[in-house]
Amino acid sequence: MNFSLSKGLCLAIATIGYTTASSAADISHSLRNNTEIHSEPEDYFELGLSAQAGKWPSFTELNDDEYSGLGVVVNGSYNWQGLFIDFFGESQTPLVIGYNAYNNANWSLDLVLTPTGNDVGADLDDRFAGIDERKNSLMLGGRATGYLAGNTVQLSVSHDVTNKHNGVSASALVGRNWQYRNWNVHGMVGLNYSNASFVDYYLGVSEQEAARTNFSVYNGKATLRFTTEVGVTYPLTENWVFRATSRYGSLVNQERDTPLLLNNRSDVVSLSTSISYVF
Amino acid sequence: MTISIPRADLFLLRLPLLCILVVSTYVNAEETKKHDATQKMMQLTITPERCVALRQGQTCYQLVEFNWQSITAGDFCLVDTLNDNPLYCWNDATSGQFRLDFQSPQSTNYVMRAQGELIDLAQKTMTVAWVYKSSKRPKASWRLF
Repeated sequence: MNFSLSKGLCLAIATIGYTTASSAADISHSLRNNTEIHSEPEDYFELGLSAQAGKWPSFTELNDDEYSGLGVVVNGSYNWQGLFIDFFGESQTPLVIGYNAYNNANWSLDLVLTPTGNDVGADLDDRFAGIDERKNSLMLGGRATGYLAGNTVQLSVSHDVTNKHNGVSASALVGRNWQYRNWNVHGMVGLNYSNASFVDYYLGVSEQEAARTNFSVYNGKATLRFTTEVGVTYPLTENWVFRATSRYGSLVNQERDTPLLLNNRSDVVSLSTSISYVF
Repeated sequence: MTISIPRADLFLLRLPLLCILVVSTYVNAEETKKHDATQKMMQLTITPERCVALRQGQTCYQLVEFNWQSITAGDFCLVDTLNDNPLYCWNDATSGQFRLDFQSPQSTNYVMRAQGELIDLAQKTMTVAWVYKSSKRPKASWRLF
C-alpha cells in the first residue's frame, strides 16, 4: 500500500478505468522479482519510502494535473495452504486476497478478491455535495497466470460482489523480465476492460443527481484501456531493495467526458522510485 | 555360556586401541599445527566478500579483487574449489593481486596452493546472498477438486 504524504491526493486521483481489477499487482511483483516458473510464493514484508511524479485525470485538480510527492511503501505477501494475501503498493492493484486452486507445468489458476474504485462524495470535495456517494467495491473473480516462451501472461475476469454496481472487469497482460548483472529489468503491456455498469457507477451522473446538483447527466460507457509498464529492481543489500517504475495508460476506445472529473485527460503517465527494507 | 576374560587380558586387548588413539591425536595435532603454520605463512583476502542477488537461485555478479601475501617466495596458484581449476598462477612471488568478474548462483571457496600441490595454504569464501527466497513447488496440483 502506498500512503501519500502530500495533499492526500491519492483519493482524488481518478484511477477508475486504469486499475486492473485483479492482476497487475501480482504479475508486476513476480516480474520484478524475476520469480521462477515453478517456485512457491514467498512470504515477505517490506517497508520503504517512495517518490512519485505523474499526470493523470483528477476529481479535484482542474489545471494542475501534475502530481509529485513522497510516500510510504508497504509491500508484503502471506501464503497459507493456498490462501494468500498480497499487498504491493508499487502497483495499481495494491491489495489482492486469493486462493491458489491449480498449478501445472505452465499455468496457475487463482480465485481472487480485489477492492477497487475510489470513494467519491462530499468528503472528497465540496462540489460533490448532492451526488450519491461512490464507494470502493469488491471484485471476485478468476485469474490465470501462464509462463509461455519466457513471457508471463496473466488473464483475469472479475465481478462486483458488493451489489454496488454489479460491474465486470477483465484484463490481459503479458510481461517479461531480464537480468543484466544484478539489475532486474521488467516490461509489461496489456489491456484492461471495464463494462458500462462499472464505469457508470463511478463516473456516471444520473438524472436525479443532475437535478439536485450542477452536474450534467452522463452515462458511463464500457472502456478499454491500454497499459504499459517498465521498471528496474536492484538489491542494494540482503535487506534493501531499490525500484524504479514508469507507467503509461491510455483509453483505447473512446473519449471520456464525465463531468465528475475536473481534469479529464484520457491518459496516465507516471514515474516512481523507491527504497524498501525487506524484513 | 559365559566367557570370562581376566582383567589383565582385557587391558592387553584395549592397549592397541589406546595406542591408535594416542597416535591419531598426536598426528591430528601435528596436522593442525602444520595447517595453522601454513595459514600464517600465507594470507588471502577477497574484497568484497559478499555478492547479493535479488532472488535465491539467480546468478550473482560481482567484481572481486583477490590479494595474497606469503612469507616465503614460491610458485602459487589461486584456485576455484568448485572445479579445482587454477584461476591464476604466480612464479617466485611473495604477493599477488587478481581481479575476477564473479558470476555464480552459489557461494564459492577460493584457496591458495603451491603449484602442483593439493594442500590449501589459505582459503576464503565468496558468499552469495539474496533478498527473496525461492522454493520449488510440484509441477501439477489441484487444491480444490
